[in-house]
Amino acid sequence: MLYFFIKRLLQMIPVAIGVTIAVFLILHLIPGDPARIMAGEAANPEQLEQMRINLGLHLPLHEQFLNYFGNLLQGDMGTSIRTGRPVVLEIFENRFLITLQLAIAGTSLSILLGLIVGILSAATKTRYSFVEKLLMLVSLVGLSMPNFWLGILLIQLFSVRLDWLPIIGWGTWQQMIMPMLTLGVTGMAAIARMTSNSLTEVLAQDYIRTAYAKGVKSSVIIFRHALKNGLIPVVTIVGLQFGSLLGGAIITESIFAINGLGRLVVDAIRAQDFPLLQGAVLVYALVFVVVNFLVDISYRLINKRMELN
Amino acid sequence: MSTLKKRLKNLQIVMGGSIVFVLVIMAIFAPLVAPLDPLAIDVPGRLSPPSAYHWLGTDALGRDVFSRLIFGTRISLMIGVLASFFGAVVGVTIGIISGYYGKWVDAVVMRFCDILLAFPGILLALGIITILGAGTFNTIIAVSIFAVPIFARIARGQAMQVKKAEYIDAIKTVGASDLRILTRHILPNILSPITVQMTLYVASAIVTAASLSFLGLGTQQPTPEWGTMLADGREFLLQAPHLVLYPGLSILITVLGINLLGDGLRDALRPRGR
Repeated sequence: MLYFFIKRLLQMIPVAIGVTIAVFLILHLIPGDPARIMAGEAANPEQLEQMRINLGLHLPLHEQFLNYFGNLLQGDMGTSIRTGRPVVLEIFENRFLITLQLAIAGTSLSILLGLIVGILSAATKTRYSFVEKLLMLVSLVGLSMPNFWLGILLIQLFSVRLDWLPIIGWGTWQQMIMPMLTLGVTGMAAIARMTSNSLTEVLAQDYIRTAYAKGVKSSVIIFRHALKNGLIPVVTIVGLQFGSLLGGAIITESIFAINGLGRLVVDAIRAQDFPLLQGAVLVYALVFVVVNFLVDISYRLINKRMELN
Repeated sequence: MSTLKKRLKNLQIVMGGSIVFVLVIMAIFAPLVAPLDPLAIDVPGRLSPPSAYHWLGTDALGRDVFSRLIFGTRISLMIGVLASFFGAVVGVTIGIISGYYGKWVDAVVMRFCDILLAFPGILLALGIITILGAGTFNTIIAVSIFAVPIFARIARGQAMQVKKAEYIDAIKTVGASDLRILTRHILPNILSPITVQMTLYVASAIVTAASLSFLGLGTQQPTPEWGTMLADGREFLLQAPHLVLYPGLSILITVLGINLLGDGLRDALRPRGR
């Protein structure tokens, strides 16, 4: 296990470096002069030159990258053009935490709903197959639902029509309900489908049949015997979902005007604030890399325990 | 039981296929199907609710929503199909080469894929849009790049399996070139999982493209596009809820149809005795 852990940890390093190079290159792949774009059309030649020096654009490319990388290691992600504040502060002061909360809340909701729907559908498969078909159709609809549309429909119902929930912001529980639902429903569908498939396979195995033959109650069989084995593949999809919910947060934050990392990305693109954009994209990708690492480790841990048992 | 299951699966393919068929016909014959000009502005008649003349009402500029949705089918399907196709062509090419040759080629290609997959899809698309600028064609490129690692991984795995088969050794001994083996023997063998993935990717490409437009970074006005229509309609939730209802419903039906078809195909094409 330790060997696997270290090997997987080492595999993360080239990916993290590759991601950093990709993010660094954003600035250099933009057609035109980034200094000109960021200084604005009205900038005079001195201002332009100053901007070039600030961004380090006067150096050769490899030196620029080494500087960028060295600064990153010291926690310096550059300065936001728009606000003039360090990018690190812009990201980590509170935006990062908000997006993390949003993604965790959304994932939790999708796990809860996904497990309920998935277990119900596996349990009803043999005797009430129409219930199972219905549940799977519902989850396919959930999977096909564009989350920005769902968010707007929720606003339409709960804020505009019923006036129960605030349209924008993040912090109070009332503000959290709609963003959580918006994010959670798509994730729910994927988890429900995975749970149902995996549980159905487990339920067809011999030891389950033995338990039935011994007269054990269905509920005990599902929750005590089958779920333990059936949940293993679900762990992977939960991790993947967390990653895709991080992506989904970009849209959700825009709909509900939540000042998280996702909205920062969109605002930075609109304002052509490239240092800010690079920082935000890098943080996003690195979180994603770490989450995937944790999923692999936990998957391995669960599998290991099963083998030993 | 198994026949019942098979029938339901067929039903799924038929349902999904019918939805997709109708959409494709609508997209191809949009000028004939749409009752009005999707770009015709009629300011006095703006934000009117659905009526006999404007079946799904009008938008903030008085344009006919139904006609715009019909033309929007073209944009969405075109983006979805082209993005999936480009992604598949590039991904499968590097995937089978990587799987067939192995060693350092494989290591390089797979690390490249890992890096691309380290970005959530929409974020990668946003990054590419930042570089290329907004617009329909750039959206296609942005959305197809995320598909490359997905197809590359599938193609690589399949190519590695097929490579070990005895008949590949046999044709090697009779002197077949690598190119011939890759294109005539390995490629046909991996087509069915790739077809399924292509179908499913069309659905997610449509959603990602609409999300970009929704953020104002995809297809631009006045081209009728579902995501843009939704974003514009947000301003008028109280006066004209139809402006957000129907574009969203169009995306949902399209994506659902494609998912039903892809899901059904996956089970139908899966090797027997699973």
